[in-house]
Amino acid sequence: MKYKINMILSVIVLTIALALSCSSLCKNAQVVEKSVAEFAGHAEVDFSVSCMECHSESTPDIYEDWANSGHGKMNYGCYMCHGDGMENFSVQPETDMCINCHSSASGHLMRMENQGCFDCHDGHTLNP
Amino acid sequence: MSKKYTRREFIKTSAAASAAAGIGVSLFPGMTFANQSGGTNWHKSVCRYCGVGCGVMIGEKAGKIISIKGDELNTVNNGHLCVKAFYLHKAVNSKTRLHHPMIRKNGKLVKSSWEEALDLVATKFNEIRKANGGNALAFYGSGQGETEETYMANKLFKGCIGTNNVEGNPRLCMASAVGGYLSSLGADEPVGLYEDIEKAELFFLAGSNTAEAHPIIFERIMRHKTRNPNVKIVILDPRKTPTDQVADLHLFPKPGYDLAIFNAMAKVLIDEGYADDDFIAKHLVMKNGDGVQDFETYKKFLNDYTPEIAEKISGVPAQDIIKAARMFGKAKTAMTLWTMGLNQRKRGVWANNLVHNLHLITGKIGVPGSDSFSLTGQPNACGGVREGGGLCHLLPGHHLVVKEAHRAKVAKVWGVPASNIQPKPGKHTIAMFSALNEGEIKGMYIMCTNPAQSLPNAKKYWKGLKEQFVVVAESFYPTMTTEYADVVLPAAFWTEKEGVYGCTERRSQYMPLVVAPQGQAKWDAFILRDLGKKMGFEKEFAKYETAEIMWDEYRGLTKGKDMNLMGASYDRLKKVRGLTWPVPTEDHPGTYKRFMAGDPIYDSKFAELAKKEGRRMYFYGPKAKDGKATVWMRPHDDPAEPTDSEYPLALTTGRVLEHWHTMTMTGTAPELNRAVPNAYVEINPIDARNMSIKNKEQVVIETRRGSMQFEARVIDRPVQGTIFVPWHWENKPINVLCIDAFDPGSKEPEYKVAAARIRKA
Ligand code: SF4
Repeated sequence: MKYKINMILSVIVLTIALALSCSSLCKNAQVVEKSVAEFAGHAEVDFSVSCMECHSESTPDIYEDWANSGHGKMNYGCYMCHGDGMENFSVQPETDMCINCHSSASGHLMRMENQGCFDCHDGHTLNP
Repeated sequence: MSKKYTRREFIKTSAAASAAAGIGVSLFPGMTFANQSGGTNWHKSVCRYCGVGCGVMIGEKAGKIISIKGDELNTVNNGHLCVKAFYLHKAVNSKTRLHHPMIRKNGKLVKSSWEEALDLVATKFNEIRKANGGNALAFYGSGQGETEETYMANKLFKGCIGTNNVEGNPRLCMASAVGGYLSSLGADEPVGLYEDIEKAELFFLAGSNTAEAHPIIFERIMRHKTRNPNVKIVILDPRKTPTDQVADLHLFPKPGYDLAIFNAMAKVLIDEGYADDDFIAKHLVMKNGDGVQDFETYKKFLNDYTPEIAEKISGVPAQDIIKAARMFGKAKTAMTLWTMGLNQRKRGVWANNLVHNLHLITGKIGVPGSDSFSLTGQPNACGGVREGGGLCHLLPGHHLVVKEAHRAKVAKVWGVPASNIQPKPGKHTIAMFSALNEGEIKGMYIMCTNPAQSLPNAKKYWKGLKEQFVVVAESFYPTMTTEYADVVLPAAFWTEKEGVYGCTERRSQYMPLVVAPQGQAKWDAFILRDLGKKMGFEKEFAKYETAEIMWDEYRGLTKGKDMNLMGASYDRLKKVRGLTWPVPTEDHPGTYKRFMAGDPIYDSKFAELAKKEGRRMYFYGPKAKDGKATVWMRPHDDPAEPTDSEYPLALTTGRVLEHWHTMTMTGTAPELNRAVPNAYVEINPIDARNMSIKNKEQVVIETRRGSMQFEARVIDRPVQGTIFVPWHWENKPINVLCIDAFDPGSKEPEYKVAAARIRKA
């Protein structure tokens, strides 16, 4: 529960910061990016557990959304879309990541013109 | 040392990043979006990993493999990929790729030239052969090698050196399935294809964690069940796995005690009128150790396996066994899928026979949606080793070393005297590595596999690997096996060579050469060819300039055989998404169901006879008599090492979704490492409580072969009295603790059951 509160607080604080100006956005972005890069260098710390193990405790709602989705049923974990957190990490994965495994949906995507998969499909439930 | 992050801090950072990304800014750049970059060329190929044989498109740009995507035109996976294949390009480009030959000098492997390395191997092998005979040499290959590669190895060792000591790791995973198919249906490999999945009403998953070991098959089953809620799934496994999310009923036997369950199910099926009497009368014979018996004898035999007796033996409630049998009987169509849970057993062939029995007595075979369908572990275990003859008793194209006519036929094609091929099978895998320990085998060539980690009771066999002259051809370095090698040869990897893989469903598929081999790496088939020339077989290996020449010669040997591949030329395979044999001519589309109408062999040779006898199938394989399949009376048998007061737990091993074998490939993808970073032991919560073991505590597993420390994962997965360890990690090679007892028929080891105990570390 306290993880959740921390997370919500972080989101509020950052959203306010981002709303202030572009320069503050970039500054904040750099600070966080550096921290994550640093984090990514520490295989011996939280890298000893899977993303999933931690997120099932810390973001149970997201975990549940994922677990009940097609990805969850196949046990295709966080890393598939978000990266391993060590070499790469993407908060908002790009559509072409999806297309590699769902290549039969490429025609459907083309018809959507400028939309990406996540414009319609929720990233964790994968609905609709 | 940079700052350590706790879980909590990471989540906080991630949450902040999520917020930023929500307004369109990625704070974590670095994901490769290969598909978005222009100039990517896509090449149709096959997944390098498992026996499902999914079609992939290899993305290449400027001579580099940058991405993999599913091949939407391939009927196996319809464009979908599982997590392993998604990261295959990382294996191609891994820092662990070996780029040059190495020779052990003063105890250390040092870089050498090809000339020096191959000269050394040829000289050593010839010395050994001259002093001790051909049988002092051996080849140990892989179900991951291409058919062309195994073909070259077979010719060099069986045809030129003159030893049948040619084995491969499919002995460790599929040999029992081969024995089962041959003895029950008369011919190896399944009757039907994957397309039966979408026509089946019931799935019996016996000894198969399909969700993790064959993910795309699981996806097809799951999709089918979602669309058709009447579809039912019964699981037989001592462990709850991710496959359970689709289960309607799960039977949890004690590991190694399930044979009685199959017999009890057969009894219920017959007693309750689910047997197909007409099919039984026209298509089957009943046999036990004394030979052919009548149906009444079979029924009497089954009286020893009432559901209640089976409950006593297996621990599965009689009511559940009855329920499973009724579900099987009531369903119009049923598919049984199995893999290592039945194969890697002291009585693996019997387990296979008993599964076939269920389909045979109910006639749930040879009809769309019904099949007794073995799932293969490796991508070319069927194609290269079972069909290609990469085991000690086989020759290419379903020929046998014991048959004089087969030896003569193959020798003629190889251009060697028939007398070169020995009439006696060579040593099977465990016997071969035992002989290496004892010095009877003095030189071994290992291709595309890592036996120092993968053999059961592995440590026992390190002695021979260390003491004898061992050559390892590998794409990755180091592995546990290269630790013992005298010479390591850099092998070209997938995408850097062309060739054919044959997957679980009799489908042969072509893989193109997309980029040049890295560094000085060479294609395994060319390494073997060149070694052959250096050993003095210049004439015998002169013609093999291309992969296509090797394939054409091989497919010529399949002409007229049950696995006829004459219609599968490279030209054709390059265009289509594989062909399912028998495919006798270039205009034949491939075969859906064997032994019945639509199978070209049946249609041309047996249809008339079958019609006359009022039959719908004719089992024409080499081991069937009068076109009849066999129902075997196989009794219960204990595992080789039952639990006892000293070792009260059953240790069973297996796989996780994200890793493959000894991780030489999946270990190159950080995402896959991240998903399951370490080995662990799963312990049932009741057992854990009884032993006062807590989740995440360090524990030591002990068997009669040694001990090893693991993190405990207390979880309601293994049935009480059973512990489970995934086998992939080099730093926790659990196979060292496994028993090397093997099935007397298939010679496949019993990886799935060993007696163990646990204590806190
Ligand atoms: S299911 Fe097997 S063949 Fe298919 S993509 Fe996954 S590993 Fe490759």
